[in-house]
Amino acid sequence: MGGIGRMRQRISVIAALLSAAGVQAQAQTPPRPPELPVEESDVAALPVLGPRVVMVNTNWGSTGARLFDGDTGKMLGLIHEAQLSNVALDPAGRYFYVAESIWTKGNRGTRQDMLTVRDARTLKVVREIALPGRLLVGTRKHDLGISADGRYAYVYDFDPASSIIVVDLVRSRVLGRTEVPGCGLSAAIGAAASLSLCADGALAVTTLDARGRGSVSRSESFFSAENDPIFDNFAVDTASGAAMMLSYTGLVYPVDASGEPKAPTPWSVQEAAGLPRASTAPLAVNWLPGGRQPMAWHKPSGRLFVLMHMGEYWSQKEPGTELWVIDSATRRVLTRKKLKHKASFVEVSQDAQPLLFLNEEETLWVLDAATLEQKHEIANAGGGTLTTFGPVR
Amino acid sequence: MPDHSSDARFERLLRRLAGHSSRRGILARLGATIVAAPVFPLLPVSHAQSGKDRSVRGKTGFARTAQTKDDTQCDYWRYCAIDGSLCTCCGGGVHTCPPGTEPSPTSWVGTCINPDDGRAYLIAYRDCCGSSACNRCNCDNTDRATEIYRPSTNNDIIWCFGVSSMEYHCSTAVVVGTAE
Repeated sequence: MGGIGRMRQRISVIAALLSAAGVQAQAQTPPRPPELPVEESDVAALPVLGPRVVMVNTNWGSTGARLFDGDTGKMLGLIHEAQLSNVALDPAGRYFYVAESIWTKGNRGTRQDMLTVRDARTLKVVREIALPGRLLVGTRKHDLGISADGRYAYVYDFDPASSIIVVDLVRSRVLGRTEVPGCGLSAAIGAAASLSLCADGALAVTTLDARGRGSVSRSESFFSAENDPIFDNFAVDTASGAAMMLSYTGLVYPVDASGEPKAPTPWSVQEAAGLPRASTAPLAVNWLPGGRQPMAWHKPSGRLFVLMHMGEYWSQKEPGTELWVIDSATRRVLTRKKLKHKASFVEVSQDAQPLLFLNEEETLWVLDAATLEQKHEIANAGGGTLTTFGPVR
Repeated sequence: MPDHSSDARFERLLRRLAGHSSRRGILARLGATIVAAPVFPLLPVSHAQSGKDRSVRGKTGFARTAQTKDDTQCDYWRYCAIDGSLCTCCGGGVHTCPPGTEPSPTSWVGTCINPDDGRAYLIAYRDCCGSSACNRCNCDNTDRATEIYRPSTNNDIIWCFGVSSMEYHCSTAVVVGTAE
């Protein structure tokens, strides 16, 4: 009994000590924070898109047009699209227009081409406008144009005859189709016209009459679509009808498409750098423009940003290893910057302190367009044409 | 600059293509487009004419290094202007579509030099359509490839016209004649 009594005494002493220690520990523990409030699922809305937002349109593979805030580098949202779609913003910022094609049974069945109208804040479908067709092609910006006043959409079709489908966006219906034989693309010009390039080396402007019917006028031939083509992804200011175009050899064509199309006078980006014009002869290695969207135009300053690589001719899809900054007024290269990473797409914001955007292999780089200092490297951003929400597309 | 002298040769080629196809409607439309636009610069026959110099100095970078042994590689001689998955890696062949797909009767065209005989050949790049993208042996060669407003030599367009499905699977490279 005595042994058991002593053991009980020890246990009670230990218990008391432990209890006292617990009280002391409790006294030292900070108070627990209040419980987290119960949450409910909700949905974000896009902000009003400023000029420093960029859209990366991935229209092949993992599709979607991703929007990034160039200042923060944060993704703002994704506009849904089918494979090989085009996406454009209403100039007033109310809607996104997605020209897309689907089939009733996935890859077969009845083909349905449509212009899907999405609210620019919620991205919800506002309406769908059935289209009589459209061309399926990757990485092109000017297969879908929206007029400067937001009234008309121009959808380029090739089936395989070339035409421009005109859509009245106010009445949500197709007005008709204008054949543009031997030409392609449908970049919007002003309130009622669209701009195409032609295989005979001319410009074609399709102008709508009061009833929305198009008539085509063409410039003289001024370039060789066969031997020195102009890249499809040129830069155009819809409101003024001014455009900057670039050819495979590095000729810049300043285009005025505001009236009757006229043949522009070209100048050479290589000569702007104090080099000879590029040679197209085999074995001749030159600095050449290349990529999928090889030139951006900051219209307020007149600066061009061109992706350049060293290579033989017919290397027009090679991504740029250098970025050339060119003053289009003086036709002088201001800066040649060796890029840390190759790039196939370049775009610039149209504000006073612009941002430059470069894209390659699903990575988006954001640079200060004046200093060319990198501000963001954004992985998994998608790969495809770049669009900023200023006047120049 | 555009070469109008090749119109007749192109017409003959179109007729030959149509002869192998039951989709004459599509080709007729393409033909109608060309008839309606006599200034339409046509197939790259003129390139072959201008590029008759088959010496090393006369060849493009692709042609100088092209090989004739392995048609599953991007540098196989016929692939000088191909863009897409090689059907030879997808269960098909250079002129054979893989099972479950259908060859498009339309195509873009390249002019490629066969290093074994030194001849330039017209190659029709016909897409095989109707199944999801094979996504193997992806190549993008650009000899004399142009933009979409000159479609006959553009390799970005989905050329699955005139078939039951426009879903792109892979691309073949079919010899359709010499370009001498």
